[in-house]
Amino acid sequence: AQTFKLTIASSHPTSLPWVGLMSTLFVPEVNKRVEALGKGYKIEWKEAYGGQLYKMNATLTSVGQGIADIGWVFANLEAAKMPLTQYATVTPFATGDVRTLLQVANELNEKIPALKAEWDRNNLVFLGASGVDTYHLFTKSPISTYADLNGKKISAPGALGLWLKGSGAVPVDGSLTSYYTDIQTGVSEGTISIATGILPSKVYEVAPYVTTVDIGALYNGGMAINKDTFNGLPPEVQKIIKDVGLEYSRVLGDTLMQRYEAALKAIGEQGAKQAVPVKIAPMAPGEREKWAKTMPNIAGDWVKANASRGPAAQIVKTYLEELRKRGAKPLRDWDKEL
Amino acid sequence: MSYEANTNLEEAPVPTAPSSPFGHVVDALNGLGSIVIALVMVLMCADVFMRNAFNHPLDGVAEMVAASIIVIVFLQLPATLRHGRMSRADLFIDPFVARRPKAGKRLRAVFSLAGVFASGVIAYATWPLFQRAWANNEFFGVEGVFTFPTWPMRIVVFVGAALAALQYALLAWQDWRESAAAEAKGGRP
Amino acid sequence: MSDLVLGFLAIGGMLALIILGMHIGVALVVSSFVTVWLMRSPEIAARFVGAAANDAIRDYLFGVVPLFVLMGMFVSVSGVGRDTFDVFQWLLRKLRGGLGLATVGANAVFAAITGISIASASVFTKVAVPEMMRHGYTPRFSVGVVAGSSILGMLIPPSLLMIIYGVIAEESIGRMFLAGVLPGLLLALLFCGLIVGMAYLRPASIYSAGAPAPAAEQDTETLHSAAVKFLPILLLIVLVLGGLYSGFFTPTEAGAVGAAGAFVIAIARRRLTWRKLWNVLTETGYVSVSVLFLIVAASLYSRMLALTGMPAAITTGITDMGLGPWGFLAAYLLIVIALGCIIDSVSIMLIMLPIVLPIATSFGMDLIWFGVLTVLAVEIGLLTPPFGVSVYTVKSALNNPAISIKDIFAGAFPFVLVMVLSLVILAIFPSLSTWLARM
Ligand code: NA
Ligand code: NA
Repeated sequence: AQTFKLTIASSHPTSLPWVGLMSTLFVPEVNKRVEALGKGYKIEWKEAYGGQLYKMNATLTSVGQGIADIGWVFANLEAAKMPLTQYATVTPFATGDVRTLLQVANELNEKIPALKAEWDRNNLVFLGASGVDTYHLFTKSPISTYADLNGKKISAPGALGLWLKGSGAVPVDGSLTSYYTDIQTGVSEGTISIATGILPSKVYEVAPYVTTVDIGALYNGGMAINKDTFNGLPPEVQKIIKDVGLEYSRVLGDTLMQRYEAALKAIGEQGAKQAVPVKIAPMAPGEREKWAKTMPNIAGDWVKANASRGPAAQIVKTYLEELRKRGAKPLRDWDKEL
Repeated sequence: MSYEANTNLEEAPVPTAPSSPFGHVVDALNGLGSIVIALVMVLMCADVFMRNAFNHPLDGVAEMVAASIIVIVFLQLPATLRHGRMSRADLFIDPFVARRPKAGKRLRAVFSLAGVFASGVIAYATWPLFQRAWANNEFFGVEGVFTFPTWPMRIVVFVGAALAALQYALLAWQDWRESAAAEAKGGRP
Repeated sequence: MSDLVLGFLAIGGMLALIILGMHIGVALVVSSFVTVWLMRSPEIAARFVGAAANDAIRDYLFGVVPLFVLMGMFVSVSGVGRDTFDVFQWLLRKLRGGLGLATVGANAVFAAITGISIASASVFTKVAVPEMMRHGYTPRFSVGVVAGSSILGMLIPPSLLMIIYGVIAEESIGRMFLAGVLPGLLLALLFCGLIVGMAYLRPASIYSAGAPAPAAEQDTETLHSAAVKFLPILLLIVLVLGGLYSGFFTPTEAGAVGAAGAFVIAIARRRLTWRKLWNVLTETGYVSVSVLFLIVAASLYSRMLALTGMPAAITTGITDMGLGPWGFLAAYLLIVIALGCIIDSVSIMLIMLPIVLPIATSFGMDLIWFGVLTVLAVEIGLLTPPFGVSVYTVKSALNNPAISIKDIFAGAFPFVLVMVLSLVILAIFPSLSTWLARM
């Protein structure tokens, strides 16, 4: 009999599906399978979610250094340490189906050595990809055409500001907790965000016009385990942890899809009786296309900037091909413009 | 007491520590930190102005401000310590030092050694972070919008913590010496 | 030894070191390091320390700390604080206890531009205390009023504590600011009631001669001169609150704009020399660094506690005790007030909130209301011995050996009682806190 002590942690609270599933799916499922081995192995978990051990500005180093053994890594904020992993951010309008996106992300992390190496170099073993549902516009006034964005101040944190390039909109930095006040007071006039985030923060109260642009689901990181911890585990347990990691990613895709649809519906229902009722309307296909085509070649720029760090062009190509193989229809063929 | 203290802003502050070359270095870094504070104010105001007047916010202000806060702290930590402004509860130690100077100063010297240790650990743990940031050209910000190298921030944390450790060592040594003198004179002030 | 026991030992050790007089930041770092070492290894413990030092305050929001301090310093050197007090003194000159009321009024107005109480305490110690003593108020009452009313600075928006609460609880900072308005005014009114009550019922407690001195002095102030004196503070309030609520800037940016505004006023009134500007910047540095270093150390400490599993254990403990929401709330507020005696406001919030917020949520409590109660309870600690930040500020700004720390604590004590009373009122009537915020 042997007991392993593992600390599992995250910078974000369990209300977010990719954290919640660590506690409700990953931990119990690993326990179950380890017990089923019948070798007397036991894992003693210590769970510390919601930024108890580190904040979102240090998810990568904290797991890599062993402050937590297993944790969710916010790869989108780690462009300096994981430059190639950012491929999905620079290829918007690729797919709105987060399940497909996560499948492909998991596969690329195994198949493309340069991507695997980015986890390895930071002393991590990748377990399963995470992501968020597709991005829409939530604004104070209606956005019916792409031109309506011109001159508008739109809350979009960090790299998402790239998606507004070419539209004439001004990206304003912020986060889900600041959007409500920012829009209410006029610091910004709306936001590019996700339905599952807008619902709990009630941003629809101040930004009742929901334009379902479907800019695309986003791969934002994943669960990983500290490499030293991983190497200290018996091979059978290692396999279980990796298997359950992929299972986590698969269930996360399904959960996100369900929650996304429910959230959009709930925004419509809860916002129906407010002073300016919520109005949910898709962006006209032609306008959506205009957006995708007017945007500067951000994937091409990214490939140029990262050419010295690894096969950036090949990653974009493989990513879009794998998506197409699974039935996605990217609105802009970023891979043909490199 | 520390941040509850307040000097008279009308006049030059009363010198709270003896002048020395080490002191000049510490105070110079402190001055640098003060300038960073002023720059943060100017930078944020400029961002507000550009956003409202020209619909053109400055790129990277959020990232620069976030990084500047830790730069300010570690540029000014040694001087804050040197001028006796670190937070502490004085209900026990001050009367104790007054009544029993020898034992009181020894206790204070031990506390300063704990300060050497705490600052030393920060410096020790920051050094590898600096090395990595330097070797891998780490940056913060968003590529294609605004980026800034990480290593200057790391080196400031390292130097600030190391100097704070040195300052604590000086305080410990000073208290220990004075406790020996108190013994020689019979232990009462 | 189980990790949980280690966690409790770490708390005991930390408290002992602080009470003995070790620097608070150092006590937190050392006790955290030793505990993580015992649970894991010295190398991991060092990494914990390194991570907290490098990441904990690398956040845009902490930019407000030096900026609010800077604004307070500029307001102080520009004489705007003094003028505000003069106006209220003139307005309330006919009332018994008028100067005490003027101090409360001027503090309530000053609170609308400053985000930290120490700024209020230092400005009004220099302005109000000498004036009150000259008019026959007891030293103890004079310093007590200043220390007591300084806490309005962090209840009425803008407020550093509200910002920190908003960040930890993930509540909108703009809403937290609005939530503090009515409670702040309520508290100011209760303070006024206390002063008037003392003036009429127990005049000996506030007047040195046992009764109000006859108003012998002639008044040089006129409506015109008062209006001129009130203009600068009004401009600053319009700049800070107006800009905030009309969308020109965010709550975090308000500190920068306010500081710049106060700087311009100081320049316009020719109150700023290069020497003074340098003093202001240096002093701002000392004050902000000691707060921010404390935040770094306290965040390391709460990470260590999380690793021991204590927050989770306490959560289940309280749930199993079946305290119910009111029992939990009372226990929590008592713990906060007790902690307020020995550690500073920001550390209390950083240590307690991660533990109690999940419980408050599970009871279905309104987190805005909970935040107002938390901030007020934490602020009581600014006035309670032995570690009372506002009291020490008054003491050092006063620079008068005749008035002891004990006098100031004693003078502030009636105000502590009023704060406890308003805490009860706010707990019973949540809409006082939520009505504006949820509008
Ligand atoms: Na205030
Ligand atoms: Na206290």
